[in-house]
Amino acid sequence: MSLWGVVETVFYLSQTLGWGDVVEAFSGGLLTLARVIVLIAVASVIWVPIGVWIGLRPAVAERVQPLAQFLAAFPANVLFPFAVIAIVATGASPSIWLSPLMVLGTQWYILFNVIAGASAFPSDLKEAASVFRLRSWTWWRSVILPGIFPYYVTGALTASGGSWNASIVAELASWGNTKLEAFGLGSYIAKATEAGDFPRVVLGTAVMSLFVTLFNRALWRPLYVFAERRMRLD
Amino acid sequence: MNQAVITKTLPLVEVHGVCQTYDKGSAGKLIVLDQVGLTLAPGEIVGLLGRSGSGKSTLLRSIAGLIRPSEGAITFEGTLVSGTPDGIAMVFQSFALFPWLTLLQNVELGLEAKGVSPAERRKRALSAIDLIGLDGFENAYPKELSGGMRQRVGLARALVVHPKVLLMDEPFSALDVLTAETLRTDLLDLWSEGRMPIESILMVTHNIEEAVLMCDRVLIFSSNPGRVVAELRIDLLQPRNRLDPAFRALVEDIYARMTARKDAPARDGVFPGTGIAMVLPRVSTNLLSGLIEAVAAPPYVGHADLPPLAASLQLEIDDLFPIAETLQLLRFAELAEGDIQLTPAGKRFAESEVDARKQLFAQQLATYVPLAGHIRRVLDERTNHKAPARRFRDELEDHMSQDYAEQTVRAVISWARYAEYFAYDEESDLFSLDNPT
Repeated sequence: MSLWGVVETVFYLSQTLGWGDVVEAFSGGLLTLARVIVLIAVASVIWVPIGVWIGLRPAVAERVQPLAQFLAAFPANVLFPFAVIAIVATGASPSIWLSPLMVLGTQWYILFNVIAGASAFPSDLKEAASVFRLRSWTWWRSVILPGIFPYYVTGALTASGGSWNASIVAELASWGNTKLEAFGLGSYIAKATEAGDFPRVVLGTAVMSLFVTLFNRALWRPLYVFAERRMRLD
Repeated sequence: MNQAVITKTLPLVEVHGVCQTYDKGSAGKLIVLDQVGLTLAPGEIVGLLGRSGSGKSTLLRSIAGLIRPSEGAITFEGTLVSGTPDGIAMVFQSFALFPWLTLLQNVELGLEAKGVSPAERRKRALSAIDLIGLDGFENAYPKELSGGMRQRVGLARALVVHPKVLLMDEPFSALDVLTAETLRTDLLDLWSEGRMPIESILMVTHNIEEAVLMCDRVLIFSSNPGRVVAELRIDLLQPRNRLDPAFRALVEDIYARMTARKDAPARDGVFPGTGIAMVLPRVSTNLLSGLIEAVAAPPYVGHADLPPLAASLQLEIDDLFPIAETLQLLRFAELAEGDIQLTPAGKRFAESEVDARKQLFAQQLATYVPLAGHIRRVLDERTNHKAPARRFRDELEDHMSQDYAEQTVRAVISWARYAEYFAYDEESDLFSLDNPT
């Protein structure tokens, strides 16, 4: 069935599009991939320590957790025009500065999963870490990072999937007549949609699905399996 | 020479007037520890013995610097404890090993924190692993090991930092009987041969025989609030024999002290809190009727000595006491001086058939468990005879922690269900009077 669908799609596209289109979609995909990786990494560096700090303080976590979940549900694209205005005003490069919009709405998945992980960290292990006076880097490396890892993977996986989708609205952002574009698979799909160019929409979407699936297979799944095997607390 | 003798007798740990209170709601404070004092001298193994809720683990954690006591002072080698002092290490009931680290990494961790060089770290960790009998397993992960071996890792991890004082929180209670005994013996051997780099052991236990087997001194705690009610020196020579009459006499003596009536009327004092705010233990009605039957049957016929009873039922005191105390609360039995005696109600219960038992149980519940009577009254008053359990939990949380409130409501639910005193529906979290028939 699915194989037949692939054959159908390829046949349909080959009638209207050439290899040039495929190359364009794939190079856009590579660029968007690079953005996703960099942004998830940056968001992790920021939110993991903050999430750990919050999660280990139940009183704070109780207040912040609903807020993080609200932010994850908040339609981030409502804020995009502000970014457009700021980029135009400062003359910054859209290729770089439109990118953060991709994680604007999805970074919160990392935050609230890390908070959940740190809150669930077993108290006997906390006590052991304290009795043996594990501090600073030893504590991060041997105690808390492995402890929250399964939660972090869940959050980062969700965030990265969401960021791919967000790229469609983030890489082509507009406010009034101002239109900014960052070359990538997201803007490729967005432009095709705007133009009602059905074959390119199909091609772009197919390439994005392929990238997301391969990315999950190559990175997140192995991390998941590793977390399950090694980091599980039982 | 003289100097050495003097330093030897200086206490390692001193605890003065320590109180630990737990603030909860308008009803004031729950007192966990009340004016507790102790000293720990070099060369001794001291046991803290008490039932659950006697604050003995809280005290151990305060000495480890994990909890700051509400009042009083704890010193280690003359310095006030704040945070775990260098020179104290701890073994946990749950082992508390990091599952993502190998055995060797777990043991090395404490040394890494002390800033010991990697080569030295490895050398010391390997020798601790060797001492504790785990060589060959260095690269295994905790989940690959049995409980007994995990606790050996816990012990190696504590010993490798060369502490002066080793704190142990019910170290053997998560292990099966055989494994626990092997580990106790091995530990005592290492101790008596002086092969461990420690000067003193302070251990929490709820197992009377374990305390008599291992300790030079035992502090007996009362519950609610936790106080030291007795201190016993145990001078029996090591290795001790559980069957030795002197050993048995000590066990018997401790049992008696732990069930001794206080001057105040003991009944409502069994569980913390009074009236509806009494914290109730979750004891199943199967266990309650089981114990009544066991005491009613020969050879006890209504009156049993607790140690042989516990032994014949293969229960430890933490298992036996809540059951016996619940029977006491329900006036099915009396506890005193290490004995349990059935009341007339208890005897009637033992002789009755199922329906009569339920009726009797409902009567005792209504009369002696204020919370049960309270819930029933609310249900009787309401026209639809329904009430959300949430309401009662909230009411209880004014007097006790959320966990205790939950546990107490659960206990009442299971007793009331058995007695068909009122019903509870988990789905809707409602109490009601409609018993499905």
